[in-house]
Amino acid sequence: MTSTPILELNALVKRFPVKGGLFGPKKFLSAVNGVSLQIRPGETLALVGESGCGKSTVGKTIMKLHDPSEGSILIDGRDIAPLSRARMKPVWRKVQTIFQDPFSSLNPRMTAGAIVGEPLTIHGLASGAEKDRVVAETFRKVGLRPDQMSRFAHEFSGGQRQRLSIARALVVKPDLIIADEPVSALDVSIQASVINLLIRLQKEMGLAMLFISHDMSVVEHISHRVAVMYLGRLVESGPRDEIFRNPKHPYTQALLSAVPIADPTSRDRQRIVLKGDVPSPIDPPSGCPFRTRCPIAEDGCARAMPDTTLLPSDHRVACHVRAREAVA
Amino acid sequence: MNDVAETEHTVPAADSRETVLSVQDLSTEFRGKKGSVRAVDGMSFDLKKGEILSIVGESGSGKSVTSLSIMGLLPYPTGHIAEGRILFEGRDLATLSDREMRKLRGAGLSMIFQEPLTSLNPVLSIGRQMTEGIIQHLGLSREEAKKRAIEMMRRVSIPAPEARLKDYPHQYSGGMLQRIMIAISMSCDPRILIADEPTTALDVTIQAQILELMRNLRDRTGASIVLITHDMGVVAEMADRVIVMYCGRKVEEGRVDRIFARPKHPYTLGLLRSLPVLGHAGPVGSAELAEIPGVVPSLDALPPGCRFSDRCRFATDRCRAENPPFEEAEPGHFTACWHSEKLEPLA
Repeated sequence: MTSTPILELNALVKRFPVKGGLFGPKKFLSAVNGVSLQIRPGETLALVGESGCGKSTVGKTIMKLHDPSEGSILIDGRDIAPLSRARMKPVWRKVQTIFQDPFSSLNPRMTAGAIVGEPLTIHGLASGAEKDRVVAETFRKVGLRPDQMSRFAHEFSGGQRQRLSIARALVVKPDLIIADEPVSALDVSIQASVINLLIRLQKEMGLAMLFISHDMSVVEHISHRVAVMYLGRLVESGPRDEIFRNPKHPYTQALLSAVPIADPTSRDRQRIVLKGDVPSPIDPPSGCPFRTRCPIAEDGCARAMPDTTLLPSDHRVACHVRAREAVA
Repeated sequence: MNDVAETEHTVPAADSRETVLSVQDLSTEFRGKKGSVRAVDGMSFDLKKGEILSIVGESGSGKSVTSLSIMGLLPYPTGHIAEGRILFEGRDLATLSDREMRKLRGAGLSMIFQEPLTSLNPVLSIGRQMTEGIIQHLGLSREEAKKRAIEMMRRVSIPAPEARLKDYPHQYSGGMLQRIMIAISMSCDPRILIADEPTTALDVTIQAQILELMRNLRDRTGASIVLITHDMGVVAEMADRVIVMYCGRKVEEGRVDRIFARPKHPYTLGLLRSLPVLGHAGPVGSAELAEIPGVVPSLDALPPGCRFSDRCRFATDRCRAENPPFEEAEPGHFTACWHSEKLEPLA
């Protein structure tokens, strides 16, 4: 692909201070530890991993809800990491967010029309009758009726509320959507319609999307490329089919094999069941962060953090063992 | 062992195992400002020894209320069992006093809840909470109970259990607490384990550990498990038999392979077709997921006739007027649908 990435992260780090006791040394938790990735227009990149891996922190740092500790965040080629919040406004028109919980992310005192129209006012894009027209058009686009504009959020079902969040994000015609677990809170029968909507809108509008999710089945359905995180680091990334059909990192392999498959005839498939829990990010293991649970770990894995190895088909993996295998 | 047979109406004749729990025409109501609503309406099933029975449904289907009714844990005073019997070892649980129920919980019937953090007491040590039931139900001394607790913790892969007995819930991770809950619920060798969304709050790698544990416990002790979940993937991995609930009623029941290959109710078919299944995705945007139109109706505004009729693409005037009976469509496979013969098997 030749187009400039709409989003580019270079060695992004986000550290949070944690209390180390009254007189203890000040400690830091590295929620995001050197993440680099790119998203091009019209492309959906899924950022996957389990709770605490830092995937949501990446999304929040791009939105500058957290200030990055190190690294750069390029939106359309311009680094926003050093920008103050006040100077972020033009960026926020290009980058919009959809959150997981459609119940707490919509103002209960505003009508649905006002919620969706607010970004137009903030960015000075439309007012008066023109604003109403754009809002009505956006309502139709996400499968809501313009006559529902005067209703309040609580009068909508969970799926409709998530459509409202999508409408609010799309109304300013952004280039990039950051969707943080946008369907996880929805019932299965509703989930399908929101996933279909996201894919359709993305195609129609040529949007780029950062799709943050823990649900591998949904990710496989919706994304063009996938990046897998573990304990604040990217362990593997590449085109979707490479990650799902030809996973290389032992964590990705275990993650995929742990997903329950809605087909009783596949029960006897080979599974990798990981032992133990994810280590604390305050006190991560030396060397490779995954080595404490890794089925193929060697002595050398404790000594150094693995570099990212580029494999054929734009497939990247951070693993000592796989790097050696690739050379051999 | 007491035998509570003679209730063969929902069970395929082929399954000759002993029935350990029999729920018969259970209806559970909740009193609210606008009068009572019936969250469970005429629920019946038999649970066999050593069987994993899965109850699936979305929010509001009545699956959790069914389990709370069995355990005698309905919120007081709003919730109560309006009709029906729950037979366990020859006794009707619906008529037992709180005191009698308390004796049964733990050793006879045991339950795992969705949220381990809210089911454990934050100010008591894990050791205290683990030994409490063991002392109560098995009559062991404090020392013996401690030994058993350590053994149970080892079985659920808690590292250094002797040391961790002294710790409090906040010192454990979420996955460990859920394993502790499982250890507690299995520590008195219950005959029946009711697990209500036991892995919903957990990551998939931890979920895989917990599901394997539950399977092992069944294989080892012959316990029967009622697994309540919304996740069709978990059902496919775990269940021998499946009950699908919608709006407080059972709409389909049968062996797991039959339910997934040849669903007999349009709601089950819709659920299965709406799921992205790992390993089956084509190019992005090449195939839309099947949507079930509309939303689950509220319990105080249910449509007449079949409760799924206003969302069902097979629905006719008859469906909107008359509630379909729950009948055997194929041997051992039951459904409540006027048009079940029109459903195509899934590819």
